[in-house]
Amino acid sequence: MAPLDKRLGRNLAWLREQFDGSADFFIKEVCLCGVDCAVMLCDDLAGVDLAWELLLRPLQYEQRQFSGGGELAGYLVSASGVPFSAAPIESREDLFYNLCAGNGVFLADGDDKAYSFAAQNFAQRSPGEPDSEVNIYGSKEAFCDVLRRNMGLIRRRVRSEGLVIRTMRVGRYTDTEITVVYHRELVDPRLLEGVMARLEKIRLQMVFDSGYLAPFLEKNPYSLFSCAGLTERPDTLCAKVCEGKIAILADGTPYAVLVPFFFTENFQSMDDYCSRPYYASFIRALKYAAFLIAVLFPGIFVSVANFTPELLPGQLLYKVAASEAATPLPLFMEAIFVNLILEIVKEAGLRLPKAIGHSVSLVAALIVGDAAIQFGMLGSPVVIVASLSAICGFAVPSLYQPITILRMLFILAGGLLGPLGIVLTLLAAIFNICSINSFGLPYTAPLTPYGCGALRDGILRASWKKMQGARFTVDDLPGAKRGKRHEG
Amino acid sequence: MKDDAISRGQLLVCIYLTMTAEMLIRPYREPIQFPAQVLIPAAGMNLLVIGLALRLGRRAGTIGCAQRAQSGVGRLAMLFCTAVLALSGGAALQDADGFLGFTGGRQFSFFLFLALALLLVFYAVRLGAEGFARVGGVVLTLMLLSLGLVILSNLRDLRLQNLQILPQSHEKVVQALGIGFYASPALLAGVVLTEKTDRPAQMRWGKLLGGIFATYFVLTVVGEMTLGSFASVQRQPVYTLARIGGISVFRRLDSLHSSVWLMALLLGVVVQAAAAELLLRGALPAKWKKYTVLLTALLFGGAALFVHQETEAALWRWLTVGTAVGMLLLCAGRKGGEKRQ
Amino acid sequence: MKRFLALFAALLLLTGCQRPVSLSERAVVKMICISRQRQNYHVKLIAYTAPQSEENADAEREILLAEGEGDAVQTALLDAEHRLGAEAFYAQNELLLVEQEAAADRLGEILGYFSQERVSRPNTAVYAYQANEEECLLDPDTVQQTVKLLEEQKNSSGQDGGLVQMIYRFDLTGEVEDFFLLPRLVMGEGGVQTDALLFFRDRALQLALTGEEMEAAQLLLGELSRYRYLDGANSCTAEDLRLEYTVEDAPQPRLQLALRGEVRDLRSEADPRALCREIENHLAELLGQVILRCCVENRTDPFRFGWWFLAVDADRFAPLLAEGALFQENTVQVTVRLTPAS
Repeated sequence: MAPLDKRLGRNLAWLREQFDGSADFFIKEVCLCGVDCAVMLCDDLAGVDLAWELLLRPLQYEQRQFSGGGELAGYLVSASGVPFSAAPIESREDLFYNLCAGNGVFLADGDDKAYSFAAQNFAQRSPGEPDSEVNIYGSKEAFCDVLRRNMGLIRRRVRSEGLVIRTMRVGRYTDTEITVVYHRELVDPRLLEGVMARLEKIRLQMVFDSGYLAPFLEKNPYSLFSCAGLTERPDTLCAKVCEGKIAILADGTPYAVLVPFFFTENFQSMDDYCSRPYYASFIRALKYAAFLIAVLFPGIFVSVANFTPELLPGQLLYKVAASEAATPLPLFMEAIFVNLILEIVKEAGLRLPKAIGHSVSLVAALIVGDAAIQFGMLGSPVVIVASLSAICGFAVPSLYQPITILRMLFILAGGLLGPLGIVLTLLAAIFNICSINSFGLPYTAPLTPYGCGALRDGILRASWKKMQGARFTVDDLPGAKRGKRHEG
Repeated sequence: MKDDAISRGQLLVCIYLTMTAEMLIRPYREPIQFPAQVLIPAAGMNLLVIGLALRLGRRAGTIGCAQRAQSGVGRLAMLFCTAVLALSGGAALQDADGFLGFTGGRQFSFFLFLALALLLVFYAVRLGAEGFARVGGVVLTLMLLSLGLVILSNLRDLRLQNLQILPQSHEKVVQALGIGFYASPALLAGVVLTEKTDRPAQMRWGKLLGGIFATYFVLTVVGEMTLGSFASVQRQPVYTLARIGGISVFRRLDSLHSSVWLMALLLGVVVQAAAAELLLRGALPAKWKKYTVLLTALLFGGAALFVHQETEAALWRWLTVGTAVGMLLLCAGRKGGEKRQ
Repeated sequence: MKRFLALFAALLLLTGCQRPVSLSERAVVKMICISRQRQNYHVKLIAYTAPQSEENADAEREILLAEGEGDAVQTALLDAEHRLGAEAFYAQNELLLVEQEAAADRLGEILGYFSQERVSRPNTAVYAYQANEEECLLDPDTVQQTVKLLEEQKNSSGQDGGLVQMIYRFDLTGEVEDFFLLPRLVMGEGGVQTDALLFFRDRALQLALTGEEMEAAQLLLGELSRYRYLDGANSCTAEDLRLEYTVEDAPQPRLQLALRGEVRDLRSEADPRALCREIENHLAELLGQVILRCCVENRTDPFRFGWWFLAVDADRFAPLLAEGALFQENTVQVTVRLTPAS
């Protein structure tokens, strides 16, 4: 880190060289109180009028004269009303960083320190409603792209002492600011140490999203299930932090990463805690059933139809057989084809501009759904099974990726090997998911190893009266290992 | 292999599932043609003898493989137990293949099945004891649901008069015990894997054996109350129960039940493979340690092929003898290890 | 990762190797009929195949009838499968009809074959039929209805569907029962129905119970829980019928059988209570008659009365049962207590 020069001219020359004629770099050289000074900012990140209001206007009528930059700076920092930041800038890199962060920077000739003041005035999205975690009850706020504002949303919700928001920078070329949020009294110090160690080892070229950091917080990034969760809701993040978890936010994205993350959390939503416990429990159990249907139903259907059709009730058996006789493809290929088409339709609907996006569903329903069946290219049972499976997958959106892959695997396994394929694939998937540890904590807790948490806030949800008063953190989960938070 | 620890309860669940799967899936075992009145006391006595043996040898599980390998007797014990577990795993895979032939209309080549099953088993072994211990919880839930459904779906066919009543059955009980005495190698695997638990000296084998007896009791009684004397001529009476039971329009749920039982059987093979791998890792020289998973896979595959070629009706007797000898050697090896210390 | 991809690719290659038989290519066997012709078994398979178009899935179902012959049950079945023209699928077959003469002569052998674990489902219902009924039972116009009725009866057995004998209910070892009991089917006005219960022993028909005796036997077997009484203008229905057993050891072994239930839909010109007494007496007499015919005259115990004696003192009663000396005229005494429904 190169220190700042006491000569104003040298510092300005260095900055001009770094910005290399960039049109958004603004320097205003002035003489204040007898000292040559300069105010710098990046246009459109920071507001020139703000710099005028905060710094230059109060000082233009100052009568006192100072002999050097250090004296002037000392007066401005300690005796004036100028809102400089508490810590001065001592290195050129930090100076550059502050300018890119939207701060204004003040330099005085004769002082080897610079002082920044908040003058951000860039265009930003206000905290709107969450897109991916929609709830009926509860807060309608979501994080926005600006990290500092997100910090405010968190601090506003967790007002007790103990909430810590630490910042660091990652990304060789983007120098993206990230924050690590945790509650000092609730977090396991070993967990915090493990997370910080991993974050410090990141050597990415660029970071534009918190999702870039997630693989570094997992032991096995190739696993189908991720043990780093994502959320764009401040209330969800604060709830997790109050359970002893750690959240990582990055500037430029509304999504925060939560560690450790458990399988059961994919089936939880904030609405569960605002609804009656019996209803919340019912909905959660329904989501588990939806997940199983989404993953297993097409594969089991193909396996049953081809290998063990005695499972089908009589009338259904003949309908399925008639449908199979009427179509050119075998059932197994039909199932693969329909599921692939559904994924293509879904992806197309996601990427198309909104103006024409809704026509995708029309095209898909009419052509794929209706015309293909009428024409005899596809059979109704397969389309029904695939549609039901897709709808069930939408009930658990955070697991959509593993559901899609697993569904295809099960169709392949069921079509090729029948019940044997289903059993082997199911066992392999269960072994995979049960072997995942998230910073020493079992990913499948409290389902297995079983703990009463499964009934408290896992599959079911106990009433708030029962849950009140008991402090629960992730360390209370069954199977939590002692002293092994580093390995994951 | 990861350095992982499991709870005693999880290990007992895995052993319970292994032994229950052996009870349910037995396509090559001849039926023991005695009624429940004879079989249940015989089973009780069988488990009592095993319980006493486990109690006498309870300290065998407290010494780790690394320690045991320091003595010649210990290494011999470990290699012998590995062979017994490999043979048992091979027999289980052969049983699984035979069972699949029962349940499905068409049967795949044994070699294809073996390759896929071994792939799964050794993938699971590589994931570590924590993995299969947690899977045990899931499979236990499925197993209990399956058995509960089997019983529920046959409730209306239960008839008290189907239970056979024999006069002076004590001799027959002893005879049944002699014919059918069995010590499952899963217990050997349990003793070996005890070192992975948090408190190896306090393993509650009594709970396991009690659970096995309760399961056997319920299934035998329900089987006989439903099937009557037909049960005693069935190789797999519980599977027969699964074939006749039905709920509402779903009348033929046996393939669902058989899938769950197959999962339990494969989990049992995983447990035995993990124990064998642990023993092999302790017994082999250091330069071979990175190949233990592969070696164990080859052993199990070889044993399965051997059993497939030479299907021996009395194989389970050899396994009983092997389990007993293995336990003795482990105890002897334990003493040797302690003396060296 | 590469190893898994290679394995995955290898598995995909299997798609062309072992193609399972598709549903539309299977003939779902719904009923098997066995008879004897000369020294051979004669087997008829009634199978359904799926209609070729979806619109007719429910309305039309192609029925296939294939016949086969062989010196053993297995060879006859294989012959019939060969003539079926499609892959026979047995996993939904739960009906086995055995011609009466064949049943008398070879029922043990037939049941022995079908009781093997890989051959058929153990809950296959077994019925007898007379040779002259075969044409009506297997009439292509009515066979679907016949199969449907029999399957409904089988699935509701024990709920007043009448006796359904499933393969697993036969004692093939002969240790408990030395006879076979089969319901016999005939085609009636409302479709297929049971007209008799047949007892086979020692390769001969030992006993046939028809009419009210058949109903009484089904009551004693626990397969019926209601009885319709009709006597001129008087009628009623006895429902919720249940049996209670009490064994008395001295002076002579005796089984007190109490039939209890409720009387409903009473239509009587006389006193309802008198009608109740009349029904009680009638039922007691009927049941006693059936017990006499079965247990005493023919030395069969299909109602497992012997079990109750064994439950009290197996050492004492087992030898008597084995010798067939337990059941005398008054060994089983029946009382009937019916109460009018409130």
